[in-house]
Order: sequence, then C-alpha cells, then structure tokens
Amino acid sequence: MKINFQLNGEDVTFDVAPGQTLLSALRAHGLFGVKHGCDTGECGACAVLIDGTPMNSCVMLAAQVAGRSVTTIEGVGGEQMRGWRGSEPLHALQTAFVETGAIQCGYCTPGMIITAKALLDREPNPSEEQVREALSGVLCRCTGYLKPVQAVLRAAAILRGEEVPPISQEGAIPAPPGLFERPEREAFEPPVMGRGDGQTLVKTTPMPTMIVTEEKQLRHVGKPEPKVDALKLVQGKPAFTDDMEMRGMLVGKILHSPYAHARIKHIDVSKARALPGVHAVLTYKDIPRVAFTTAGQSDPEPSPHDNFSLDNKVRFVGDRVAAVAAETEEIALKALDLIEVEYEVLPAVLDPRESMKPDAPVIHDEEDSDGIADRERNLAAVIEWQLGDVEKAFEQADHIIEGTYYSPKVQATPIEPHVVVTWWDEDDRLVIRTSTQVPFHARRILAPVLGLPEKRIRVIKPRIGGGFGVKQEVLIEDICAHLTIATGRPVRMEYSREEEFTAARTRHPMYITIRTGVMNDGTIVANEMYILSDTGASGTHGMTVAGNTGHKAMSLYNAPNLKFHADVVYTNRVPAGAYRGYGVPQGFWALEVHTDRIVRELGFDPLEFRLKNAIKVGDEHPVSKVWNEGRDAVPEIIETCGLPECADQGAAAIRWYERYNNPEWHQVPGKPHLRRGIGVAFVMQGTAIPNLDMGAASIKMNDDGSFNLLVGATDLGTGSDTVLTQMAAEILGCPPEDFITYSSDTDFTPFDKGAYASSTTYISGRATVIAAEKVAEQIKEVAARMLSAEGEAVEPEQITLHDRAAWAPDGRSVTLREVALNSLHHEHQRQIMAVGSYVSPLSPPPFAAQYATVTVDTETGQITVDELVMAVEAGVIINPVTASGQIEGGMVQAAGYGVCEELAYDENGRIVNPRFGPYWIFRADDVPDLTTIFIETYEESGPFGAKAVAEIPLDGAGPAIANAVYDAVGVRITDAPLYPEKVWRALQAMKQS
Amino acid sequence: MTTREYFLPRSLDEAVGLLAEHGPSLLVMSGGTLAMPLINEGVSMPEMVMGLRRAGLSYLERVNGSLIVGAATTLSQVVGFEAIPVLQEAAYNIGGWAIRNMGTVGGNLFAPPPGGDFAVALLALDAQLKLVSARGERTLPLAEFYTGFMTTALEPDELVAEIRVPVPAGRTAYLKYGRRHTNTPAVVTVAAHLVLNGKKVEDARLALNAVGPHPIRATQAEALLTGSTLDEETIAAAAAAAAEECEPFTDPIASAWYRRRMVNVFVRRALSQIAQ
Ligand SMILES: Cc1cc2nc3c(=O)[nH]c(=O)nc-3n(C[C@H](O)[C@H](O)[C@H](O)COP(=O)(O)OP(=O)(O)OC[C@H]3O[C@@H](n4cnc5c(N)ncnc54)[C@H](O)[C@@H]3O)c2cc1C
Ligand code: FES
Ligand code: FES
Repeated sequence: MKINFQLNGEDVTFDVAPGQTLLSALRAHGLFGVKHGCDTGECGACAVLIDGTPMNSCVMLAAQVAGRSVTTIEGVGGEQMRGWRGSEPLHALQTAFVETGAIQCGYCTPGMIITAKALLDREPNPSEEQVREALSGVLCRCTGYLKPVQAVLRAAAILRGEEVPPISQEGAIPAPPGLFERPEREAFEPPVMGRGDGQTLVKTTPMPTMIVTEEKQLRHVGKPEPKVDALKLVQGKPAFTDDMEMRGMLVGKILHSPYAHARIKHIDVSKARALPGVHAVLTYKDIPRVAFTTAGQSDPEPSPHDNFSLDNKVRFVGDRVAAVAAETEEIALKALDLIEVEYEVLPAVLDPRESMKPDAPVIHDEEDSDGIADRERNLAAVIEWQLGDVEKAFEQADHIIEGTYYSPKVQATPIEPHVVVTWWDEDDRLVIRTSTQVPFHARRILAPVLGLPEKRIRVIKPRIGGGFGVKQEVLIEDICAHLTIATGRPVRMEYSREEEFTAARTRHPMYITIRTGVMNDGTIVANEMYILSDTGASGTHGMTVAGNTGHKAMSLYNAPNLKFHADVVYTNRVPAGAYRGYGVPQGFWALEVHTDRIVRELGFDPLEFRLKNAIKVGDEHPVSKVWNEGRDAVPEIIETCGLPECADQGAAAIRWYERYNNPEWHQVPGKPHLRRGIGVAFVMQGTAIPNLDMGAASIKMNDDGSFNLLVGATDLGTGSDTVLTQMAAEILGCPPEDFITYSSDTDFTPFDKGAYASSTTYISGRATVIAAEKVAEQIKEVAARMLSAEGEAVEPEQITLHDRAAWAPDGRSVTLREVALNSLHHEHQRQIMAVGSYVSPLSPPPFAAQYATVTVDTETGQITVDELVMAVEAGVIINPVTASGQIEGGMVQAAGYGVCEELAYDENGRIVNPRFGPYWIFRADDVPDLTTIFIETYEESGPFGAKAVAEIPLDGAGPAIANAVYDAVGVRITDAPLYPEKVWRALQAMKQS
Repeated sequence: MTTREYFLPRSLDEAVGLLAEHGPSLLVMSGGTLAMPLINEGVSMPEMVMGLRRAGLSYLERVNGSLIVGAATTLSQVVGFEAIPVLQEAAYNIGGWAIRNMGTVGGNLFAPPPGGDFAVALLALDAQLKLVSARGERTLPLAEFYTGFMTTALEPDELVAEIRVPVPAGRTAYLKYGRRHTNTPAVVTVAAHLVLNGKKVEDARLALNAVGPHPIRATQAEALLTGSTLDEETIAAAAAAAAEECEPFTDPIASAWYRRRMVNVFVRRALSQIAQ
C-alpha cells in the first residue's frame, strides 16, 4: 500500500506492506539513523518524532503515519562538509553530544537526540530530573547516562542563547593540598623502571569537567579531544554493519532448539525448501562438520573446540537446529515454521553443581570435539596452582574465615545486537561485514569452518554498537557465511533481542569459595579459592575466564600462601563467554564481600585492613609466576600502584569518615523504614595479556600533510580510534582532525588481536606510537634536507614537529604539506609510511577503590543505589572524557549484576525474561550519582605512561553495594544480584533469629 | 507480518462496521504498544489490522461531575489533563515517554498482568465503560468487565468507545511498586479511594494490580474499612485482609509469595497516605 506523509520536512510517498513496521519502512528507504535494538518498544533506539512527539517506530505500523509528519535524526541537523556547498549548522544537541563525550558507540545516540529535541522544543529550561525522565525510555549500555544528560542540559543552555564554557575548563578541581602533591621536579619524569617510588598525582574531576594536565606540555594526549567518529554518529550516518543495502540480499534466520538437551532424530526441511522465496535451508546434513571454538582468541585458542556450525544434537534452549535464507524476513520465519523436527529429548543439567555428578548426562559426548578436560564429567577445563604452603599457614593463622559467594548469569546487552552481512565479491572472495571485536581472529577461526583459506576471506568491522565482550565471539558469522555459500547471494543476519538473550553469550556464573587465614594484627597469611564456573553448553573462554578470576582476585591481597582450583563445567544453558571484566568481576564479588566479612567479624577498619594487605609498588605480582592464560608464566613486578591514593580520594569524595560508623547518617529523617549504608571494594585488573597480545598500526602520509592511520584495533564504541589518533597526533605534530583513522578491515589494516583484555590503549597504542615515531623520523629527514638546502644545515634529530610543521632549532620551518609534496613529487621521492607493532612482556594492573552508598527499604527489601564513586589509578589518562566515560558506563553495568540483572530460568532450561522489561538494565532516571576520579601515575611501559581503564569499572560496584547493604541493615547477601525479594527474605530471617 | 490489510476508519460507526464485517480476523489496534511486540515476535499474526487513531475516540472532557475519556486517548494526554490527579499519576507510571505517547487508556484495559496500571486506578474510581457495536451500545461497570485471565465481557463485535470516571468524592492514593522506581513492570499496584467523614470511612474502594488475573478489587478489605475508624489498627487489618484475598502469581519480576507480602505493605502505605 502507498502512504503519503511528511518526512523531515518533505512530502514523501512510501510503498509499504500493511503489516510493515515504521522502523522497517524507514530503514528500507535509507534512513539508517533509525536503529533497531529490540522488537518490543523497550529500548528506544528506534525513536522518531511523529508530529513532534517521540514514539518508538518498532511498535508502530508504517501505515499509521499516513498524513502525519515524521522526524528522524537525519532531519535534525544540517549536512556537513559538502564541498563547495558548505556545511550547514548542526543542531545544538548534536554539537553538545560531540563535545561532552555523550557518544560512545553512538548506537543509542539518534534515539537520545530525537527524544531530547522533543523535550527542548517543549521545555527550553529543563531540570536534570526532567531530562532524565524524558530519556528514560532510551537505553544506553555504554555511558551510564551522565554525559548524555549533561549534553542535553548544555544544548538547552546553548539554545537559550547562554554562553557555555568549553569542556576543557569546566569545573576543574585542583589536587587537594598535602597528601598527593607531586614534587615539582618530577614533572612527568617517569619513575625509574623496576622500582617506582610510588609518587602519584591527582586529577579529581567529576566529568565532563575533567581537567587537562598542563604540566605534561603535551598538545593532544591528555586532552578531552572529541571522538574522531562522533560527527558521523551524531548525524545518524550509515556507519554500522546493517546500514547498507545490496541487490539480491537475502535474510538469514535460525531455527532454535526448544529443548535444553536433545538429539535430532529426524529433520525434514522439504516443505520449507519448497516455500517460494526460500533460497536455502541448511541442517547439519548439508554442511561440513568442523569442530571449532567461537572464542575469538590468539592461535592456538585455549578454549575447547566443542562447537559445530550445525549439529545433530542440541545442548541448550536456543541452540541451532537449522538455518534459512529467504527473500524477506517474513518468508524466512514462515520457512522456519515449516521445518519438521523430531527430537529425542535427553535429561539435562541446568545446575553446575550437578554437572560433575556420576549420573549426570554427558553434554559433549561427540568424539570429534577437542580440548575438553574430561568430557565424561562435563568438565571443560581445570586449573590448579599453589604458591607457598596454604595448609601450614592455616594451621598457624589466628583466624580462618571461609565463605561461598555466587555471581549471576548476566548478559552484556549491547544495544546493537549481533549482526552480519556476507557476500561473494568480484574476485570470489567471501566478504564478512560484521559487528565484531575480533576481525582477525574471526577470519582465522572461520577459514577451516567454511573450507576457505584465510586469503579468500575478508572481514570488515564497521562502527560497532557496543560489544563488552559478547562480540569477542565468532557467533553468527559462520552460519551467515554458510548461507551465502549455499545461495551465492548476499545474506544479512541479525539477532533479535530475544535471541541476544537466549542464543548469544553471557558472563560465566560462578560459585566461589574463599578460605582466608588472618593474624590478629590483620595480616592475611593465606588465601585459598575454589571456583565452580558454569560455562554453559560450550567451553568458549571457559578456562581463560576462570584463570583470570584467580589471576586478579588472588593477587590484590598479596598473601605469601595462595592456592587456587577452578572447575569449569558444562551445563545445558546458553554458553557463557567473554564479558567485560573477564572473570574478574566474579572474583572481586566474592573477594570483596568476603573481605567485608573478615573486617566486620574481626573488628578491623575496612580501609586500613585492605591497604595493609594490598599489593604495593615493587611487589611481585604473585599469580604472574604461575598463570598466563594457560601459557608460560613470566613473573612481573608492580611498577605503578596508586591504591592508597585511590582509597583516600574516593573516601573524601563519598565522605566516608563522616558516614561510616555514624548512626545518625544511617537514618533517613521522617522515614523510619529506610536505612542508609556505605560500602567499599578494592579492585585491580590487568592491561593486556603479556607476551601474547599483539597489535599493529600503519601510518601513511598524504599530499596535504594529512595521514591515514590504519589500525587493526577494533573500536567498539570505547573511543580507541580517538585515543590512538591523539597519540599519533602528538608525535606527528598535527591535530587529530588531520588523521583519517580507520579500523578495521583484514584487507587493509595490519593485524591486531582485537578489542579485549583492556589492551587497546596499551598495546595498539604502543604500536601506533612506534609507527608514528618511524614516520616522524622520515618526515624529519625530508625536512632537514629541505631546510638545509635553504640555509644553515640542520640534522634530522634537531627537528621538532608541531603545529603542522617541522621546525629547526633556529625557528625556521617547513609545513607538513611541503614535506609531503617534496617527498611524493619533488626529490628523492618515496612514500612516507611506516608500520609499528607491539607485544608487551608486561600487563601492568590498574587499581581502583570503589565506594557506594545505598538506601534500603526495610519493609520491601528494595535497594536504591544512591552514589557510586570510583577512584582509579590507570597510569596517565590519554583522554579524560573517553576514559571517564568508560568508568561511568562500567560502574553502571556492574551495579546491574549487583542489584538487578540476572537471566531467570524455568525448570526446563528456558530463559523467562529475555526482554529489556523484565531484564532490567539501568536507565537514565534510575542510575545512581556517578563520580570518577583519576589518580595519575606514570607507567613506564605504557604509551605516554598509560595503563588500561576499560574493564576495571566492572569489578567493584557489585561488592561495594552489597557491603553498603550490610552496613545499612546488617544482612549479608552472598549471591548477587540483591533483588528486593532476596533482601527482604534475609531481613525476615534476621528478625526471626 | 502476514497482515494483508490495514484499515483506518474515520468514525466509530465505520470502525464497528468493519469489526462486524470482518470479525475476529481483524485486530483492533489502539496505541499498538501491546499488540505490536506480539506481532514482531511472531506470537500474533493478524490478517487485518484496524487502527483507532482517526475514529474520533481521543478526547478528555469534564461533564457533570464525571471525566469522560475516549478509549483511544493516549496516556500522555491523560498526564497533561488536570481533572483527577490520581489518574494523571497512574498514567505517568506507565512506560517511558514514547510509550505514553502511543499507549492508550482503552488499550490498558487489555494489558495482561502485571500490566493494567491505569485500569487499576479506574477500578478504584468505579469507572463505567461504554461498549459499542454495530448492534448498539451498552454501559458496563469496569468491575464487571473482567471475566478472567485475558478474557473480558467484551463481545467480539464490540469496541470500548469511552470511559466515564466519576470525579472522586473522597480521598485517593495510588502506589505502584516495581523493582525500579518508574517505568517498570509492577510487583503490585494499589489504588484506593476512601470517602471519609472525619476519621470514619463511609465508603471504600481498594483496587490491586499484578496480584490477580486482572486488576481486582479487594472486597474483603473494603468491607472491613467501610464503617470503621481509619486508624492504624484498621489500616493494618485491611492490609492483612487484602494480602489474604489477592491471588498473586510468580513471574520474573517477583514470586507470588513476595507479592502477597508486598500487598500488605503497599495497601498499608496507601491507606496511611489517605489517613494523613
Ligand atoms: C516498554 C513498555 C513499557 C510498558 N509499561 C507498562 C506499565 O508499566 N504498565 C502497564 O500497565 N502497561 C505497560 N505497558 C503496556 C502498554 O503500553 C499499556 O498497557 C498501554 O496502555 C496499552 O495501550 P495500547 O493502546 O498501546 O494497546 P494496543 O496494543 O493498541 O491494544 C492492545 C489490545 O487491546 C485491545 N483494544 C485496545 N483498544 C481497544 C478498544 N478501544 N476496544 C476494544 N479493544 C481494544 C485490542 O485487542 C488490542 O490488540 C508497557 C509497554 C511497553 C512497550
Ligand atoms: S524500542 Fe524500538 S527497537 Fe527497541
Ligand atoms: S553510546 Fe549508548 S549504547 Fe553505546
């Protein structure tokens, strides 16, 4: 049917199907700025304005907008950089979103801006609360909402005609006197490698008002540079995987298993194949059987090869049974309905505590999977190590405290679901355009699965709408590629939100038992940890995640005697995999709740006890001696550690000393049923996998003195492209805008292991620095020659690069453009270009102190998280805006597993809350107050002194909240999340006893 | 997506005519916020869809001590119309802004629990529904509209055209308890309307949502309240009675066990709010 309406101010006619959603119709007409994040009206990614009012286009029929006016992100601001036509102004909201760092992956940005526009059109002077309320229907998994809310308030001020301060100068807070004064003489002189003196400096700022460190004398590093991809994202440009069209493109869909464990006895696809418009129906009978792992890790992958593109057995509700490619989604879905399957239903294991029992059904009984520790016992992997003598130490300890803690099965929920497009190119090479964190691993892992050599596969990673680890998985690329091979046509496959919950990957749920030996003076003499990790139906990341749990959580309190054992078991649940933090949040959930118990039971001060036992500068990282992802372990020394300063700065920001042990503060005046509490957790992470993670970058100079920066590193919204560009800009003496930064494409960019293990700034950053330094050298050679020809001789080493020019000591200069033209066209012609790659022997840990305050309703058990303060020491901060964005968003995700997120199962192994309504992730109107503090140190091994910030914010909020709840009402919950019902039951139990 | 046809009738007459003509293969869509997710997930596959937006059913009017609300009035329209504060509050407690701009008052009557957070307020205010078909029209108290889980007294050829809400004579309270503070599926929602003479309760309406197959009245608690003095003791007894008589269920939001206990807490809080 034809509908007439007004679209972004112009009259248009669309031909739509009567049942077509407005979202689908708009995207089909090229309005790719309207995003898909669910199908149920619950995420707001698809928000558009209908007659000026925000509505969700996924729950609206296109037919309903006949005669109305529709505004999408494409209609909000003017077009940019259109050559001689010139740019038109962006909307103030767009500018503010770019400036404040409100954009991380940018996938939620169109929905946010459209909604905010409707608000500001009605209310030019909104309160923060109004902004939060208005945005509450638009979910963002990256930012923690602090910066988007700031952006809207800033835009409102701009639109009111007020002057807004530049971001770099807003509200800078000077370091408090005394404690952390950095000796003048040490202005960014790195401490001596090997034994740093632990000196630190402080930049305490609530964002987006983080200050720059003028002391650094750096032009771009350490500055809140706007993200290099922000402009396109803020305009809703077609930057994401699915934002493209191809002639003849088919839609791929998967038939998922309704049973937790079953054998396919009989499968008949003839009716599905006969349906007009269906181009392929694949079952295990149709494709080669190749065992592989979906875990995107370096070769050889340490995860078991226990996965098949399609199998004759299903191992969880949601597992693959068959795949279909058809001309439309509707036909594909109909075809799935027509597939007849007869299952032999097998007994299932849904509780990891049952997995190893003798009578438990064997989940991976197939013979051709590889790398499973003990398939008869459903044991995917086992880890065991010991340092010192734990048993002896326990004998001598004054106190032994033991406890078991559970961390839940949670999902990363990037707002962009998994999505992939595959096609054969003109050279008969298979192109895979996919939302992945690991393009290079994906190519290598897929090659044998598809029966193609790597050289005939090209993986393109466009902009990614969030990943958080769940896209460190080769999840649906294989099946989409099989469909392209089967049909010869381009195929597009996108997960629905329900599939994202039921058939992607989750965090590994773990039961962690800790036994700690403590002396009367508060010294920890021994720590023993046992982990039962539930890897679900596949062992993807199973061993390495559990290993990482021990690597970090057993190192923080650096006891001389340590013992660790992990059993990673299979269950018939959706596989667990990588999720930001990679086992460490589970470890610190257990360790820091456990530590709070020790402190309370033995009467220690929570901060003093922790600091007394915590690892320090100059200490050996204990677990580095025995564990490195199952590879050779190489001992490492802690060179930088600002934990004491983090503790103090965080305590000051949350007013710890006024509140802890202060009965009055714990009351809420006039509300006797409410109690306040305050809690803390100390955490550490890692920075890359030592001696393994490799990243590379190439830099090429262009005629105009601009550069192509090609990085294999995969920016998934974190801002790594920006940070890498800042580093290159610093070295090459030109602004970030002179870089055409591109990541990543296996055909064009050098190798990078991908975005995981908090490694991009550190590893890919160092690679970029190396490449930039080589290019700088080449530029200086040319410049020296040019300058010497015109006057006094200059040596290349004497030349400095800044302000887009190469400078001789006497003040003469040639511009980078002149250098480029000279080198490309005039004399001694050559391409100025270099590649850098880097692998680190070290993994210097960042440290943080996480504080939380809560209010507990004792009549209901409901918890409100009031404040989260995280003081982080992660070396030098390359970009305070993107770095604090990581902390804010990460803390909010962590608060999620602390209080409200968990996949709920029924007795048949079905997930009963695969939707954003009942699976609660925080929204703009219910996030706590967030404060980020960076304590800078100079990590000699890192580029410009940097360590990592990406994962550490996931580690502390959960336990800090649980400890705050204990502080408030005296109930100790050891199994996250702290649902109201759970807290209430505990409160009742406490009353009774 | 199997939908063959979309109708956008220009009047109520036309709408009920289409309904009479096509019967159950025609899906009535008001705001679509309940119907569309089910269609997108393949749970519902209507052959034909009829939108109500142009059928002249979006209006709010005050007439002779009552508020008259067209069934296709959006929740946002209710939030912005100052006549009965408790209704504004109930509407505001549903969804986020975009959902309230789409979702309608009529549609909320059909929201399966724990949905129905607007309907529960209507129940406490003794709302009357005007049901219209090609055969004629009839009026039905909302209390008689619900017949069971996802079933109503609506005939297949009927539409809910209008809702008449008497402006409350007494005091009202509305409390929605969810795991988060707003825009959340309910653990329990309580709507109360008490006519007081001094401290004496002359008439009591207590409605609960998310603790039964549809929004329900807590009739035993109402009986207990009527004629009593509204003091702490009465409130506690009424809360206990409501907790006793409700029929909670377990879902991913809360267990039946917990819901029952929370009915006690929130009925008490609602009544205490009125008593203050
Ligand atoms: C993200 C999200 C959050 C939500 N939160 C809440 C919440 O907190 N509380 C809550 O109660 N609900 C909630 N809902 C559900 C829903 O939005 C509301 O209940 C809303 O009021 C439904 O109205 P609608 O007009 O959109 O219904 P529709 O989808 O248009 O209607 C649903 C069905 O009701 C019938 N119907 C509708 N109008 C009529 C009529 N006039 N005559 C006859 N039959 C009719 C039709 O069979 C129709 O298919 C939420 C929904 C979403 C997507
Ligand atoms: S709300 Fe429409 S895509 Fe999620
Ligand atoms: S920036 Fe909001 S979802 Fe990524």
